[in-house]
Amino acid sequence: MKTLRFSRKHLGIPYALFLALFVVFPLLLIILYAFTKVDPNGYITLSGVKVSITFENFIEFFSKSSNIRVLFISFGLAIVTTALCLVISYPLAYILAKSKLNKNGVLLLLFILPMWINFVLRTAAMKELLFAIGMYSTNRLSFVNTVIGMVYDYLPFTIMPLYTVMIKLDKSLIEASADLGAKPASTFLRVTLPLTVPGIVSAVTMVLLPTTTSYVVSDTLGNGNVTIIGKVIESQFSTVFNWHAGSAIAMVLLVIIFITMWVTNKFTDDDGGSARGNGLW
Amino acid sequence: MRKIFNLALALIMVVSLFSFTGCKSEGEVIELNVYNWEDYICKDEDNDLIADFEAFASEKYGKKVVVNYSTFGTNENMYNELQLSKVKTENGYDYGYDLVCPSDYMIQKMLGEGMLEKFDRSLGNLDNYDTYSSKYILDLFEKYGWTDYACGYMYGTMGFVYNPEVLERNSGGEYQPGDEAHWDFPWKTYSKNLGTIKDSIRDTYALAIGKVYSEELKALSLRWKAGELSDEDYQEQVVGIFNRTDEATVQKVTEELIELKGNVYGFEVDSGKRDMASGKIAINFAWSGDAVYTLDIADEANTELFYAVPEEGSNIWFDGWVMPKGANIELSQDFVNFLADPENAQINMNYIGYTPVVAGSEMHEFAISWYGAYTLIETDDAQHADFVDSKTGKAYFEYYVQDAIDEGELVLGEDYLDNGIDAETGYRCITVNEMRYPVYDEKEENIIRFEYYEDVDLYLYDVSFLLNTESDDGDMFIWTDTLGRQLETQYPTRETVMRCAIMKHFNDVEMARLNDMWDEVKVSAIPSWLMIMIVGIILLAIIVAPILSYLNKKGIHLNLKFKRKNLTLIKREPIK
Repeated sequence: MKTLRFSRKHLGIPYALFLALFVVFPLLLIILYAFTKVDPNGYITLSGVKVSITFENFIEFFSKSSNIRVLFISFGLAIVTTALCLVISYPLAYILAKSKLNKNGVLLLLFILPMWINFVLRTAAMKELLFAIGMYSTNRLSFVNTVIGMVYDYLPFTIMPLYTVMIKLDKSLIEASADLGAKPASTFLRVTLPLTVPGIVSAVTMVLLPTTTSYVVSDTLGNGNVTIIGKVIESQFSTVFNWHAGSAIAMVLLVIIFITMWVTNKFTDDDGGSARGNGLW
Repeated sequence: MRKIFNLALALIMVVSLFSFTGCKSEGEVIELNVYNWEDYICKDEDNDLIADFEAFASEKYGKKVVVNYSTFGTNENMYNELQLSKVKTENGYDYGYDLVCPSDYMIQKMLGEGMLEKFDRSLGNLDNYDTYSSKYILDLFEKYGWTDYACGYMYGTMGFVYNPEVLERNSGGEYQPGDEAHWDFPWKTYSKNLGTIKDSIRDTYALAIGKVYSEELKALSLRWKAGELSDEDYQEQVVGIFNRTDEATVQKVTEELIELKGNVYGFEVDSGKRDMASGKIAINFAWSGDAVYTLDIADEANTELFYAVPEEGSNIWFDGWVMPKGANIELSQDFVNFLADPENAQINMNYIGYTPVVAGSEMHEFAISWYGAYTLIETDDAQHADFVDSKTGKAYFEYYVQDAIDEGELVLGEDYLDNGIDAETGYRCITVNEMRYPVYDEKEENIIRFEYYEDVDLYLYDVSFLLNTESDDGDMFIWTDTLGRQLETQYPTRETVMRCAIMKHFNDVEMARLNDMWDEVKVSAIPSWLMIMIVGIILLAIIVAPILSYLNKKGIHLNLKFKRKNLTLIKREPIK
């Protein structure tokens, strides 16, 4: 009898199970729902309802002008948020990583701290703050308020990967650059920035997709004046009760995100970008 | 060792098996699965109606009755959940719940789809509901053919909660009292950034319909008031208008709502209550129950808010108990009947703020105790007095004004003047020369002083239309000093109710039209330069990236500024 011996690779079983159950299976379900519609003469049965395979959900989505506008608004919001997050967190992470202080752990903690407070509560508090400084004097500022809220909520997600990359940055490279006569600006542009691109890429990955869908922020801070794609998906599931259309929108979003990620990776991809992990920090 | 372990394991299994079966045989638990709106039944430290019912039913059946109580947030979520819980049986489906509390249109939908079980009055356990329910509600149910399938729970109107003080301050004198009772209220230029509307299709649609057809509704209302239209005809026409969903109407609604979107503070479902109380906004399109809650929390913050139902007509809605197929009919009816007990209805009303369908003289008394004007009247009978002023030693009885007048404690001409019908409000009005209220200390135990108010106007408010039942049919009045507030919100007058319409369930085609309208309204228009810019950036990225990588493969390196071409050497031989 062959005895089952516990080996290191068995440690991966829970993760594989988790992956199959909660990532792969739901994804397959989404695809199934996206390409089907309710049809009494259908030949597939999904949770007791007969359905048939169709592309109609996608055709319907792209034939409505409001949906196209939602896409623009969502990605506009996402791009502005991501850009602002990077602009704010890059120098911050740089300073934190470069500071001679031994206490930068504490400093970093200060920026990560908001993440530990409940998301909804944080957003509500942000609204009070913005109201106090008069950002709600006109509803034209709804979009701006939403961007502020999104940046506030997702800033930690950009600081973390950038900081992780920068702290590992080999200081001798910068010294070498200075030795060879490069000015600080030039050193930054030609040495530091290219070396931190992996951090930037993972920061973008962490922020771009969630901002297109986190409608709690846009509903609370935008007073319902800003509608993003996440809200449309939510309403398809909970109000309109058309899971097929909702899944189709989720698929569209997924494809767009994949394209964006692919393009982003192309920019960084010259010598084996994948080795440095185009994924998370 | 292993053997012992196995033995122990087997023992544990056997024991647990026994304990489970034991549980089953002696238990005989009857379960009632109730599915209700969030926060829609009284459940606090003092009163827990669910526990009370469990005790009541356990006694009735001689077995343990357990209520599995779960809640939902929207009608659609509830419907969705019911669909997921269904089990196929010989004749159709059985659903996982015994008793559900959807709104009017959802009841229509579920009834149309044959999801509902009939109430069985031959069991004789719906007597509370049939005796104490408001005649208006019972007639309404009869009219629409719901009597057999649904029992009312709570009902109310839709209207505007408003803050006249803030409006006057912000409008530069443009706001005229009375504006709030018209549908164009949130569209007014002075309402800019001061109003919120509901982030829900059906309610906002009703609002826009009211605006689009306000002239037609006004004309109808005038004809009805002049007696040219009978009550039934008027009702029918108003219902017809509020349920219009033809293309032309939806188009007009879309335009109006897009205009409104530029004028309001925002869309909300829940946050409006707090925002009204804190004075962030001054107009909130609201359900009457929420309005009562808003008024209450604003009172605590010393802000006086009011509620008005548009004069052109509005939406009246109700939530009712229905039994999905396969329900435990007898126990469900017990539950409905239990809630229809006036005492429980009062507890519920106090907690939720919505108006229960339960009416009758007991509810009238309750309404008086809440909203009736009262005063303290001196008495010689210090022993039985309600209050004794420790400084002067005078004893007082607490009297509701109507009792005081009935019992001759207040004398016409001496203590109060009868002004007859007040021209402005249309209610009978009296002026009481002096009203006394006690002011308590912090512990609310002792009176520290009395407050005196001179020449207080009181209005005779008629609640008999909604508070009369089949068996209890009489005049019911409340002398009150504030109009347009909680009392009027919870118990609108006959005139207000008559001009309100039930909104029906829209079919799939109509709903698709409304959903499109809603998307059109909710998704903002984007300036074209922004669209072009975003498209440009995306296209550029998509085109440039593959070209770059292709050139790279071919060995052609573009001399881009950010390329780290110069660093390759260093990387190969890292400096340690």
